[in-house]
Amino acid sequence: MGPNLASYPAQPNKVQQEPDRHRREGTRRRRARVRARWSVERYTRESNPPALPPACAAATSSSVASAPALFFSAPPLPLLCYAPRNNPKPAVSFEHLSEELIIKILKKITRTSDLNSLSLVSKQLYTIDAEQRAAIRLGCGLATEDFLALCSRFPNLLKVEIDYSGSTPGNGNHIDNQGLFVLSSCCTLLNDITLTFCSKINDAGIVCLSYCKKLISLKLNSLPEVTSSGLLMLFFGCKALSSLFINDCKGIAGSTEWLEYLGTDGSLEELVVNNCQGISQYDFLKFGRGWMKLKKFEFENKESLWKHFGPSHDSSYNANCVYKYDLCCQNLEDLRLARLITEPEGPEIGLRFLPRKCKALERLCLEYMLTDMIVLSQSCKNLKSISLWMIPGLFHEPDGIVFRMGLTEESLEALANNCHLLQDVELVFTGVEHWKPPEIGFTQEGLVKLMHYCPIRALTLNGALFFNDKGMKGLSSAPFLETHSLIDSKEITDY
Amino acid sequence: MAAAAAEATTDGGGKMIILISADGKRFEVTEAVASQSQLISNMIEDDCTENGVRLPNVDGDILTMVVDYCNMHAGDAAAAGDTMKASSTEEELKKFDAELVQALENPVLFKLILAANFLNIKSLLDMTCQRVADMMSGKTPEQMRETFSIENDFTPEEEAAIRQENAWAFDD
Repeated sequence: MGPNLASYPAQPNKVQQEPDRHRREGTRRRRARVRARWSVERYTRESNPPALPPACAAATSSSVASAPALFFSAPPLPLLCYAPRNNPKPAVSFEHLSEELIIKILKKITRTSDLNSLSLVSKQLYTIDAEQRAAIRLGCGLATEDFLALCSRFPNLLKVEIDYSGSTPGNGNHIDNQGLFVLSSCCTLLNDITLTFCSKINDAGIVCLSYCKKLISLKLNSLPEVTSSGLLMLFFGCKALSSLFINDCKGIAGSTEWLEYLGTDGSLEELVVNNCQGISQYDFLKFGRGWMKLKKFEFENKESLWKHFGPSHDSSYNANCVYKYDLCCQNLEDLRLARLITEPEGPEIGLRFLPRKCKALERLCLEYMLTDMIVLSQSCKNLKSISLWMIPGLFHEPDGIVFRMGLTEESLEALANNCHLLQDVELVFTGVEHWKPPEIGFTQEGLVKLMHYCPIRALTLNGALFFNDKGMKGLSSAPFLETHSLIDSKEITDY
Repeated sequence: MAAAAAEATTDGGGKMIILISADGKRFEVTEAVASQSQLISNMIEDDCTENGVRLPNVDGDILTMVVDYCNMHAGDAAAAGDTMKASSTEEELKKFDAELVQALENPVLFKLILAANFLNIKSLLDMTCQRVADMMSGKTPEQMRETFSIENDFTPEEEAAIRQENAWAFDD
């Protein structure tokens, strides 16, 4: 005789003959088994007119809480063996799957529309989906009371995205502070929240999110009413926050207490601040100890590109203030700085010092700001990806002031010699329509040489009008190159 | 004899064990093949496979598929040393898997899910559940009910209310 399988893990959809096992299992499994048993029996009674499930009429769609009760209200049924040997075998269908198995299938469905359709198939699927739904994305057109129903329907949400982009700010159906209060009190497991163009939300609403103790990732996009003090209150509550993204929030200005607090008591690993006119590069010097934990940092200054062509100053620089640059950013791997205005020769340093401080740096993107590539390549030897967006500027050289690009032949050589892991290079040129070396700063031969020295798999040249067929030929023999994108390069012919 | 024994060990399995389906069909497989089932693997550890393993929940036709699948996938670990061989095997496996699930009629698919769940073969369970998920993709509630023979137990009013609730959420 074969061994007795009863000593192995019980499957919830199989009927077991051991009564004490039933007691050991949790309510949920019992519920699933009762349901499975019941559906088996229903199937075996198929010669009778199909009887409607007794609980169907009782449950209501809008009340999630009452739905599970439906399964308990089924009358006690005799134990039936699944697929009895002597009787004709019932065809196995979806309804024979246990709740665990249905959850397994549900978790493999990625599209919201498919899940929404599924919730309309049957009460069982509605209930399971409501318990399991982890993420929703909302647009405009939802009244506050509907939003309340929604929050109680999906109590286990982990991720919510509210996006009103494209709808008029005056639209009455935008979620307000009250909505955020309901959301954060119903869905306490939330760990990822994104708010975009929520014009009715101010500090009073943002502060409610501090109920979400598990919040890990927060994205605030175009929330003009939110201020520095709202952020500070929020961060007091959300100690687990590890990723913060702020874009176009003009109300965050003045006080930098929120940054100081995050730096001292926070656990941020990703910090992205883009296009906020009230937040300056000098504010981040107050982030202090926070820099040590940071793995990704992005800052895009809200400045017109034109400001970068002539000599200009960052208005947030205060000559009377002593700025401390002794920051430690040993874990920073991903850095993007865009449109910073600094003075290469003067006291206005700002965040220009940052790239060469990051020894672990792997991905660097510098948009319209100058940095010394030779020093950088010597300190950031782990660089894998580099993206440089350039406009010409004035440079002091031994034989006078020259107007050229910041990237030179020497820079390329330093990169080739020091960054042996470099895989991905993007160079974007602006304002160099009819330029040739030396104005461009380097030659295409220098670039071809870099491609041969480093294991570069992808090269993107945008607006590189100096690059021609000869350069292309040089690249064609680059040993590792897999992708080469050329955008707006008129000198290259089909030959 | 000695040659046969040597061959058996190079198969990677060593000992053979016998699986017995609900309808009494017997399948002889190596321990390596069978232990892809966590259930049987546990039994092998507990040394209770000597008289064959009875699987009262799995029919012979389903067990044939499961054994085929396990035979096909048992090579995974063994071939890992040889990268060239491994990559070609990987492609073959993918093709085999795809053909296996594509061809299944609904009742067989669900039986296979139940068997994979009972035997605790994670990869097979994942693959078959994924197939059901794929079959749901892009379907209306009515089409889903029809495909999987699920009874609609909503009243029209309830259904309308949920439809309205679903309307705000926009898709990604």
